[in-house]
Amino acid sequence: MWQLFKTTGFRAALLYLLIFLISVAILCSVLFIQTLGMLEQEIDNRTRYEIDLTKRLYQTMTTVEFIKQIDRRGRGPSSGVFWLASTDGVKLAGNLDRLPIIGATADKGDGWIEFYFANLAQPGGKQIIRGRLVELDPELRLFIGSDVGSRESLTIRTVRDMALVVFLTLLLGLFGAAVMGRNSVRRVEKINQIVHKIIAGDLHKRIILRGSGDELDQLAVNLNSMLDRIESLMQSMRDVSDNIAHDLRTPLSRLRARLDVLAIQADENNRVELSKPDLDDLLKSLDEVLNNFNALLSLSRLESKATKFYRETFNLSDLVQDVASLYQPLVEETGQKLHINLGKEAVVVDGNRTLLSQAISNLIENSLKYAPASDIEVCLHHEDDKIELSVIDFGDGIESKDHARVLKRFERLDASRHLSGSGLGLPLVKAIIERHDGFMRLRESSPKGLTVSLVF
Amino acid sequence: MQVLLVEDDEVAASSVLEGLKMHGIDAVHAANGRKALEIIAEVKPDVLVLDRMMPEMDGMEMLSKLREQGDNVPVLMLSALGDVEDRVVGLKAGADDYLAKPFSLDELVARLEVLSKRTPNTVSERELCYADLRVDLIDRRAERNGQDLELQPREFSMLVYFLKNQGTIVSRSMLLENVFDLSFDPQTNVIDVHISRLRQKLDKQHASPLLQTVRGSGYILQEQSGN
Repeated sequence: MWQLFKTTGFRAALLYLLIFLISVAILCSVLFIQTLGMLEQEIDNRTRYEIDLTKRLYQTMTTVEFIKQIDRRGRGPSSGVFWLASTDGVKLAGNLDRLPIIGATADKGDGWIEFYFANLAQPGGKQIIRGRLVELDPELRLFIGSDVGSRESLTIRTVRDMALVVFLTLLLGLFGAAVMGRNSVRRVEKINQIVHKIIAGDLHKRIILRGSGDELDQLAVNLNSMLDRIESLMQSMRDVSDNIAHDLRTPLSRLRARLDVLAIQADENNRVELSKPDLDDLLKSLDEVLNNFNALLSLSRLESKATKFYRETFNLSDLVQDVASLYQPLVEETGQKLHINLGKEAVVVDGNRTLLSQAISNLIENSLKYAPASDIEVCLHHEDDKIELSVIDFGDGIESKDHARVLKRFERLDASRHLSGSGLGLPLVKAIIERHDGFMRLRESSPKGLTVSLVF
Repeated sequence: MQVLLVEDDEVAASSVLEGLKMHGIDAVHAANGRKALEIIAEVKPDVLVLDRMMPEMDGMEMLSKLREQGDNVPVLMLSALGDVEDRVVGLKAGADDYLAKPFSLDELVARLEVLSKRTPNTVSERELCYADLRVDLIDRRAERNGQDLELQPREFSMLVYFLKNQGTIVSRSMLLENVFDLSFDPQTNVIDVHISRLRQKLDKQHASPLLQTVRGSGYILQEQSGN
């Protein structure tokens, strides 16, 4: 129950109910006052009519005839109340036995008198009389009035009915609020159950939509897409750690095996004999591990937007020239050529010189490795605030369906598995260019080969 | 040469210290910046090797304090593993050289040798020479035994760098940084190709080669021993 009260649906419904109840109460009160006023007016009008009639009759009749007339009318079914008496208070005619002493009755100040006495016919009942004293003659005292008991009973009945209406409204409203609250509680409860399952580790669960498009449905849609994202991130995390494990296992196992052998030797002789080439080999294995770690850490730092990096304004054309000319002799070693096309004007950028030189170098080394018998072109193109730096080779290229794959960490195509490499080269270039608010584009060279462009 | 190594990792520090001793370099260790400043005031080391990442006072902070005090002892800054901040930042902060972890001992020794011999702003002479090799810095001409060497601009710069550090081992990354003004780690033997081209022009027609390869470390401009 308390749970229900805590739901927003139930609380909103309660608030509406309260406002509705107040307006119902106001409406009823207005109706009640109006009706009562009209009823009172009606009764008084009838009394006034009786008084007028009586006055006219009195003028046309003798006193004896008049006394008889009052008696007769008092007995009539119209149930007006009449009391005719001499000045000393002796009753002469009428259906009222006596008039309560004036003054003790409730004189309303406007000539109307109201009083009540026990109704003998009904035990505990009350008869309320309202009327006026009529001045006819100094010798006679006349009271004409009406029984207003009907008014009182109407009042009671109306109040009772209204209370019933308000009570029913309250009941109905509470019921509605409970249903609304229950409904939202049940749906939120369903979402909670699924979330609990996800917390428990079942990442495939999704919240079922009702299709109504309401706010809970929209929440469910957002939760579901959040879960999709988390799931894919976790998947890639898993892939990355698998890949790390795989890439590091080989050099680490090699290292361990070597050290094992040395340990056995040490057991026998208490000293280790190690040739320089063997030692260099051990160091090489270790360097491989460390380099992989280093590349991975740099990549993570670059990809996390939180870390700031140093920027300066420098001449990119010079940098491209420097890096390309560094590789020129290496390309020419095997009879190929490295063409450098820098355009006419120098391109000045604001960025990190070291990271960009690393990116250009990675691309050239990639071409050297994967397109060994091909010329390489390095082009820098500047147009309308857009800089495009391309490294083009004419080797076997990469099928366009694999373009997205090679940008992922540790992703290495089967065709290149036999070549050494960490599988971090292109992802690192991608991270670097993205840190410079640019993007990387892979295309097919013409007639064949791979063109990698950095656009920023 | 007296070296002060400021490094919070005791184990790493002790093996570096031992390695330096094996190369005949006298080195002391300070575990943090505060202690290092005390030692500097006492022993005045020739070169400072400063770890960038340290608890309490980090390398950058200590370096700027040192430079504020007007101490211009040569400083080699060590970066943390996977640090993307490049050497430019370290050099801007007043370091004289910058080395990324993990590094080989040979690389560290080569850089320390160069740093300890550094005499700032005195190389304004027109001519550099070693044995029968002569280089004119103004006319950008090089000759060996009276014969002109036809060098490409990069080859000339490389030769000048070797001459300025004659008798000292120069690593590949030092060449890359100082001659090509690039500071990344190439995965190829790109520097070796440049060296072999220079060597072709420098040593081919002469009985005694001047440019020697030091296995695992780099190159050195030195007459072959025994000749």
